[in-house]
Amino acid sequence: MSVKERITVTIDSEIAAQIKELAGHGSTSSVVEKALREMLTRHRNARARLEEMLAAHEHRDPEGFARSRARVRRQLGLPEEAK
Amino acid sequence: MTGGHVLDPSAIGDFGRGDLDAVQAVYELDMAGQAIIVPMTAMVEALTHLQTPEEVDRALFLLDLGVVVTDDLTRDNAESVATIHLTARAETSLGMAHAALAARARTAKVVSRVPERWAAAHPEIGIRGLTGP
Repeated sequence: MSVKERITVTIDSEIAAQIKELAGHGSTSSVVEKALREMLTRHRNARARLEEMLAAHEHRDPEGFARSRARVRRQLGLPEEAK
Repeated sequence: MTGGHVLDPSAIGDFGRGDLDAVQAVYELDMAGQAIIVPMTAMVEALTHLQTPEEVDRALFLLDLGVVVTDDLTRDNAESVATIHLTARAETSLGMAHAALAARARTAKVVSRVPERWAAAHPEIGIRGLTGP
């Protein structure tokens, strides 16, 4: 059994009411945990797909890929990567 | 929520087409933990310009990323989007007007492939131009 941790979050009261309604006499925490697990899985899959897309570009043109990365980081105002 | 980056229709469309700079931008913002706001009007506008189901699917999977926050067109913001559209100084679109409102509300910058169009139509909005080759 996984270790549980109590955290405090602030959400819209309308959403909180809907979560409680969905949980009924069951556990509100279980409903929230299930939703978050689904969201985390979607995020992991999306990030993996993003990394696959980038890997394909890098494989085709490593130099162009590096130039694009530096340019985009500069355009977004992100700090330069350490060399 | 303040800060973050708003994607305009051109940036979302480029992402759907798999354009390297657009994909890099989303990846870098994700890794930096910076919020990416996707106005749904901008998403719909981008979808209308994509050519294949794969491109549409790619644009929509953007919404699965944890750092992406959608900004819906609702009763509360519809009039403001319309007003921004009508008061633009040059040619704009509903997707750009919605992106402008989302950026203004969060003090965020807009990521765009067409920064010159933003400078002409909505000069008050800060732009991060993806202007690579």
